[in-house]
Amino acid sequence: MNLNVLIVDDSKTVRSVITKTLRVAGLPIGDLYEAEHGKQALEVLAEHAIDLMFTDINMPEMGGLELIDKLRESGRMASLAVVVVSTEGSVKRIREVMEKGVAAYVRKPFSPEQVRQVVEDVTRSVG
Amino acid sequence: MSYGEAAQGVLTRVFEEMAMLFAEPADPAGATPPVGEVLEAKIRFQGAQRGELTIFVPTETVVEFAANTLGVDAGDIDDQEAVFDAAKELANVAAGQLLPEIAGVEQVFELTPPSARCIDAGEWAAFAARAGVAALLVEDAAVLIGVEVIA
Repeated sequence: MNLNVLIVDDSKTVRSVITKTLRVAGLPIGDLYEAEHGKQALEVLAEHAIDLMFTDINMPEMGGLELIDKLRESGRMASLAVVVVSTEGSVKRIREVMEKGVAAYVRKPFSPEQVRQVVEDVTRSVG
Repeated sequence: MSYGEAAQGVLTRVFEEMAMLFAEPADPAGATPPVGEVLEAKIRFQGAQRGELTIFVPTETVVEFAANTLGVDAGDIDDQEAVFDAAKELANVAAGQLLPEIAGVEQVFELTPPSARCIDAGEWAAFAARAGVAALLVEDAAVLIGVEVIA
């Protein structure tokens, strides 16, 4: 099963690093989409069947936590694996993020191996 | 450990882990100012403490940072938007690493989206002379770091 992936981060550099990691890691990746913030992400999610979403927390317009809350309210989280990729180092905040039902938390700076491992774990759990 | 020293350690790790660029502590007053364009990357934080992290970094170093992070040639980082984006991400990651070190891992901070802009030689000199500002030599290029905590 190939996963359609959405990468949500206001930094093009980070979006590019995750994209490149996914492409070179030999993972079962289908279509890749990008969004600069939560509002754009909701638009992409409304139009495309996304299986896996990487999202930052700190973004303009709509941050990652608000995005996840909206997805929970709409029931969309049930069919979407969410991986939070953030600089956030507060264990209290990370706990709060995990309690929202996300699949994994990856702290920046991350290695390509970490991203690959997360996708492999998600792939196993969904399919 | 002062905020400046903590920021020095954090930036050293970030440059090394993200981009394989090696850094060593330097004296801000004695560090040779960069010859080319310099950027200011800044991010503000609010939580148990409120303040901002400011980094003065040569554009050439940001280009190298971006290129190594992305695994491309420096020549491929050819537009200002990409350079500013990389400088902002540098500040973002550094702040995320720094705040748990200075306030503890239980504290929660809200970060503003980072900003980046070009600065001139006068701003570099004034920042280098400011109390508490620390410096690094990143592959021999001077980088200044200031952490201002208001409350």
